[in-house]
Amino acid sequence: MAASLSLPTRQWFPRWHAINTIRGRSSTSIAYGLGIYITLAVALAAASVVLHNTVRYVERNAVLSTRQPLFLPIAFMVALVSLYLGMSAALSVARERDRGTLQVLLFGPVDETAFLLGNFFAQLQVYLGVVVVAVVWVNLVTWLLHLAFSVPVLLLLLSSIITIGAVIAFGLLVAVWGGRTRAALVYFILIALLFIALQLGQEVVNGIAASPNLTENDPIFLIRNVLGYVNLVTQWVSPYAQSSRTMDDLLNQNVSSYFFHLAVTFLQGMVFLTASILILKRKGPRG
Amino acid sequence: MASEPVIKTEGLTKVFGRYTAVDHVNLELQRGEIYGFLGPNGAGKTTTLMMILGSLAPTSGSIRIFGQDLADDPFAIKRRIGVVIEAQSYYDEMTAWEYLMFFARLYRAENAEKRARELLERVSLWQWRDVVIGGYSTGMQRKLAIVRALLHSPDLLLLDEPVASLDPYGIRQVRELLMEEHAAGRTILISSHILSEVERTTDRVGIIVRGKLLFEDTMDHLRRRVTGQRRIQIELVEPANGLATELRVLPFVSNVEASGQQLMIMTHDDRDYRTDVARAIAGQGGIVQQMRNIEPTLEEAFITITEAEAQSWAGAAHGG
Repeated sequence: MAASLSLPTRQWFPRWHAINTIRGRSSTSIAYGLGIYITLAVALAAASVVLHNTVRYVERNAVLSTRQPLFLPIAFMVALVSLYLGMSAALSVARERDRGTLQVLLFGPVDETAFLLGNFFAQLQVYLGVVVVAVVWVNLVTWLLHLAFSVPVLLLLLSSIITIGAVIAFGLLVAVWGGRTRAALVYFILIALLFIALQLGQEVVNGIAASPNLTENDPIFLIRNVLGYVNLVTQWVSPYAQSSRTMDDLLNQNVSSYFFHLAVTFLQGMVFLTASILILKRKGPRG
Repeated sequence: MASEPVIKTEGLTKVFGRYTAVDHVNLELQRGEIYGFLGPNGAGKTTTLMMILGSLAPTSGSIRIFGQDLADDPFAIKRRIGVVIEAQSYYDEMTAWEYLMFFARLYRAENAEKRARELLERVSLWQWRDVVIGGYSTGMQRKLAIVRALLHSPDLLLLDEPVASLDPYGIRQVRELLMEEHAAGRTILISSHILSEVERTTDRVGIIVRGKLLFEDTMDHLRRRVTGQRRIQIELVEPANGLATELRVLPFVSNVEASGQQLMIMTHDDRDYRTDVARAIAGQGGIVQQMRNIEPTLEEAFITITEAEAQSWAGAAHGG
């Protein structure tokens, strides 16, 4: 009976209805746009090129450079799609606030939590569709190239859902914090690219530093150390850093570490979402 | 027992820094009435509405809607309210039909498609339902906002400038719609600068100036309060030579203005003196061709009240 329910419990039923309605509208809006299809096509093309290069390297040098040739292409695809969906989340929230439709929504049976969660689930729902396409692509290339479709590949794809969730939540945070649409977009792209650059940068520098021809005093070691310290800090706020560690855990079959990093990514997403809701409540629908 | 007011604010105050936008406003809307909320620009109307809707937190005071605090059950309370704000915003990329169905789902409106069709037909937008809102004129968008506000058959309608940017035909359509909603027992608060429209539709008015609710009563009391007397306009068959002087001495007459065959007689406010005036004129040999009571318009009342407040404010400021 509704009367016997506590206030927070009683509010979750209508709030869930609002979340679901906003999710439906936003996901339809994304599905009717061209952006996600172009991004997915570019991501799959890029992943195919990376995979092609890896396979050719193995063929030419007869050296097994990686145990999981599909990991890097998938990571590439996830990074590209996450950038798009995070940007799309930031844009949709910032635009609603800019044009005043958020205020109209909040006059009705919608609160800040329902609005942001509705947008969050809309982007995540679109990513679930991307995962389905990615599974088809993985099946196709493993069949064409005689590669194995391993459980770690499937786990990588599934764990990417949590990574993408954290990136979307980060996009929402930037939108409510960043003010106008253009500012939110610029902030999101800059911060996300910085996270990715730090991640890739360290891996590239680590690779160079591993060269036997370098002396102890080579500046590359200093750069490696600086990047290492920076990454030590950003790993707690960057979903990409956690995603990279999750991938390493799958490669090394380190189950406990895999779940730990997955939990950290999930926590990041929760913190971003909670912060977004609190900031939106504080700043109001007009920012 | 009298029913609970639909809206009741007590000591509602909003302060922005050193500026008091709303100052201890006590507002009360009874079930089924149309209330005109008036005030010059920047008087605090929109701020009051925003606080009622929970969009702005009051600095002090309380608001009860349907006898409850909005925070008690915000989703249930807001589902019973239909809102049109002055600076209305739309999803330009949606068609009117998509827009209405989205809000119908949000408000869990019953028979939404049937209701939407009826309302769209009433405001001549049915044939435009599949056109994106971005292609609508400002007037069409305003009508769509009104349809959206009425779609879920709310118990309370809060309308900020509902007929702004509408042509006379559109104003009439909206007025008729609102009168039907009123007849169906809905409570309506209209905030508007189009005073002729407010005068036609509202039962009671509240006038807010510089954040203070200066007046809240029925239209009839508002007129009486402003003039403190009744005005009778008379047209005589022949010019009123000396008649004005004779009429001025009558005990219930406070003033007489004569112009050709026209007489304007100001009487006391306690009752209708038309019969007495007619007798007095006949007694002086005059023949009345036409006689009617002249009510002060809402515009006159509004200007009188707001100007008096402005003068007292200026006086206080000048006096230090």
